[in-house]
Amino acid sequence: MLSAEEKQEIEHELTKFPIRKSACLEALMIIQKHRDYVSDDGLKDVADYLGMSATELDGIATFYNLIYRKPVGKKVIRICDSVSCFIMGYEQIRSKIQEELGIKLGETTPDQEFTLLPTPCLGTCDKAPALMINDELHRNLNPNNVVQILRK
Amino acid sequence: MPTIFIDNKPYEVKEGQNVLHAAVSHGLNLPYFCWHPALGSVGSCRQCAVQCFKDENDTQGRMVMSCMTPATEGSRFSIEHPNAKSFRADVIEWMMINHPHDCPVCDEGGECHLQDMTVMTGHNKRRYRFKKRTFKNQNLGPNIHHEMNRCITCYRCVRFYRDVAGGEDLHAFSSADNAYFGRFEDGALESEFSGNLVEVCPTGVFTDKIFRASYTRKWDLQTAPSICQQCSLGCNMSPGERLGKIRRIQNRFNPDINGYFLCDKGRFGHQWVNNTPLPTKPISEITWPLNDDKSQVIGIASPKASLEANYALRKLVGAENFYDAQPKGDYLLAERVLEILEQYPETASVEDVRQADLVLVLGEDLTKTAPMLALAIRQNLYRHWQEKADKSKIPAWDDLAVRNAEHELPDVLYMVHNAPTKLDGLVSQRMSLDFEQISDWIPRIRAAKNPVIIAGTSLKSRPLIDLSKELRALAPQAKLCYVLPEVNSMGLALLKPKSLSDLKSPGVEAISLEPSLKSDVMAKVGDFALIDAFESELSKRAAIAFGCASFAESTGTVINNEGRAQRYYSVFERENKRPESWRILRDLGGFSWQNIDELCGDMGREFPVFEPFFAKAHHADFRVHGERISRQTLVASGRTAVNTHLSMHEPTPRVDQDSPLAYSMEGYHGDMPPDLASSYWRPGWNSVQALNALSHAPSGVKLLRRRSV
Ligand code: SF4
Ligand code: SF4
Ligand code: FES
Ligand code: FES
Repeated sequence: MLSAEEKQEIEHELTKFPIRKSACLEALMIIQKHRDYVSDDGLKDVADYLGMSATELDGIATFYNLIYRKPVGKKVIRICDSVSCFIMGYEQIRSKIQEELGIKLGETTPDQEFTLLPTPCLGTCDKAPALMINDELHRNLNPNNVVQILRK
Repeated sequence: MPTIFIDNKPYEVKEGQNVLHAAVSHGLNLPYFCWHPALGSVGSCRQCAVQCFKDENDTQGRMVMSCMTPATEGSRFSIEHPNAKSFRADVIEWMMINHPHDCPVCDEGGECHLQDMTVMTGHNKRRYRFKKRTFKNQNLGPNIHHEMNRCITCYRCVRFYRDVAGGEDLHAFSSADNAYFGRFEDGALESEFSGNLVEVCPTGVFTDKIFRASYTRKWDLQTAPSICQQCSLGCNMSPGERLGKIRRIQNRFNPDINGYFLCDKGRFGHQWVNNTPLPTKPISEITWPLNDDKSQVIGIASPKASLEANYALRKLVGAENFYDAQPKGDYLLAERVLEILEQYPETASVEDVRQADLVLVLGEDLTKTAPMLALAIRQNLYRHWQEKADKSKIPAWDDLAVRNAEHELPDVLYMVHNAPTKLDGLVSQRMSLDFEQISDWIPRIRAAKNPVIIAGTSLKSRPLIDLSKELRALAPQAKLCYVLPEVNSMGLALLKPKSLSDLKSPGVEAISLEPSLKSDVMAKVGDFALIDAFESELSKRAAIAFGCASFAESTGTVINNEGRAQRYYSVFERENKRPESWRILRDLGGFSWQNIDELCGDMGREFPVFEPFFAKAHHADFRVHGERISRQTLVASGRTAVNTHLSMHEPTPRVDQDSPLAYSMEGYHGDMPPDLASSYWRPGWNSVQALNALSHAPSGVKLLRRRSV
């Protein structure tokens, strides 16, 4: 069931589109904001509300990396694995993070604190290697400062 | 017709085609995946690359996707150019990176487009050394098996299922290396057309689950051209048999009716043919339990039985005693439909529905009563989009561009119905069954160029049938299309049976071809003989029951809802062969017909309406280069081995008295009359895609003529 707040926010988005379905991405972002991720039930709720099939909506939801269809930790680390960061030591940074948190790419720590995901170029190649933790960008990483960032 | 040059040879091509379509139509070996003649091009797989040249002096050229390139007058291409060749080799190599290479255990093996294309591009060595990505499969219900690892992400499945058939429960998920094609969660596919995935998917991702349960390789199936028995449209299909069992049904291309597709009822509704057959004895060995004077016995005809069977019954009992067992209301409705069609014989085919600029549906829920008409309406709306896109110079085959250019529902579908139907979302105007404001629609109908008025008998409503006639009278350019209850309802109506409700002498003895008699009918007749293929409640109550051959083991004629006569051919003979129902009736009546042609000769003289079909149908003595046409493939296996547990001697194939087909791998295999072709094959093309290089168009014969006054 969508909460009153979620509905209200979705309704607001709906005013911007001529067709209900067109607001589906915004609606998914809204429930992700409230529920941290989009569960199967959450997805069905949105599909019903917008008058589309769950299958169709999931086709869209799974296309986007930033719509989480599984639970994620409080802090989502997105580490850039594109070419500049790769050259500048992405692999060491990644191993360091994995060692520190004990998780592989795509996994979440047992305490639900961190999720580690790869991302393509963050547009900050001149300060590579880089990563984001939630909305915060961290640059010029090395195996030492990355651990400090994580422990902060 | 434009001429294009491929590897410096001129080819005449159809106006408006793309280069790929033109090339494969000419039988050239140009590999492709995402293009399909009924789905158009999206240029997503990159397998169909060719080199394109400015003029004959251009030796370098540039690479283009042939499916996305119009075949315009004088344009020049090369399939053999080294750049194009090596590019295509790379593409197939990428596609095969994650492919499980499990052909030996894959249901698609032997009729797989991916196999064919891999061989065609010469990719025979694997260089990729890493792990393949693997997927979990879904349970998609009783008809379709899912094996996602085999996917090459051509997107044909969703383009058919969603875009063409309007299904909402199959989609592409995720992206790039993880792209997945399936449902949101496990569960039976909801579309009435899901079975087409089996033929549309070029790999073994979607395969026929019923076939899987008694699997046989394509080359071991014995096939014959057949007609779907499940509704009155008479879609063309090709059942496959091995060791006395029908294993599966595949589409048989007919541009006037089903085109490239079948509905699930037609494709999967065949296992009853494998039920316990009703045994039978030769007439000489039975004691006849009813009146010896057959003119004292009535005949109960069946719209599910062939024209030949119903005619033989009529001959046996006499026109006076030839009855139709439908309830009186249904009977009168059928009579009324025929009466209208004798006045307005220009009926609409399924293709006419695809082409119409206005489709009026009066009280039929087509998805249930004639599924392929529902699909035709969806295809019609898309065709309108294509026409609109054409004005912006978007070619009709440029599928994505057509769909992006146009989103508005064309003003085509007008529906009179109270209940919800699956076509509701496509309806442009709607009215309830009392059609009070129908006059509002008349200007629209009159203004239409080629409207089709669809009505039918499923609601048992005389006013709806009369309405269709009145509308037709107002719009002389309109074609009528009546959905009837059974495969041969039209054929039976043309034989003019009487209504059993009018039967004067209750308790009379009867011979019935109809296997499902209602209790009020049963109350009217006394002892009866039944001719049917399988054991049933009714066969147990009959004074005598004769087991006859089912449609899959006999040759016969059925007449579809538009009055088109079509022949289905026996696919196989059971070990204990049962005679066709008309042969049982022949023996009961002591008639002399030796084969179906002799019977049809008599029928044509008595009912001239059928004559044009019998004149055109291939008679049993028709031969191609002196040979019968083989029902088996050239490489059918086990011909000497399958029977060794019974006898060391190879059995002589039985001789088919009624058709020019042979129950053997020996016989003619080349180009043949389309009405007699039941599988498609060309060297290098083992999948259904072989059809694209053949110009097959079986047609049958439309029989209805205006009644001369
Ligand atoms: S499942 Fe089949 S049709 Fe669908 S994308 Fe994969 S290979 Fe193509
Ligand atoms: S539409 Fe009718 S004739 Fe065609 S496949 Fe379906 S049931 Fe058979
Ligand atoms: S490659 Fe990492 S920020 Fe551009
Ligand atoms: S067939 Fe041309 S790109 Fe797929």
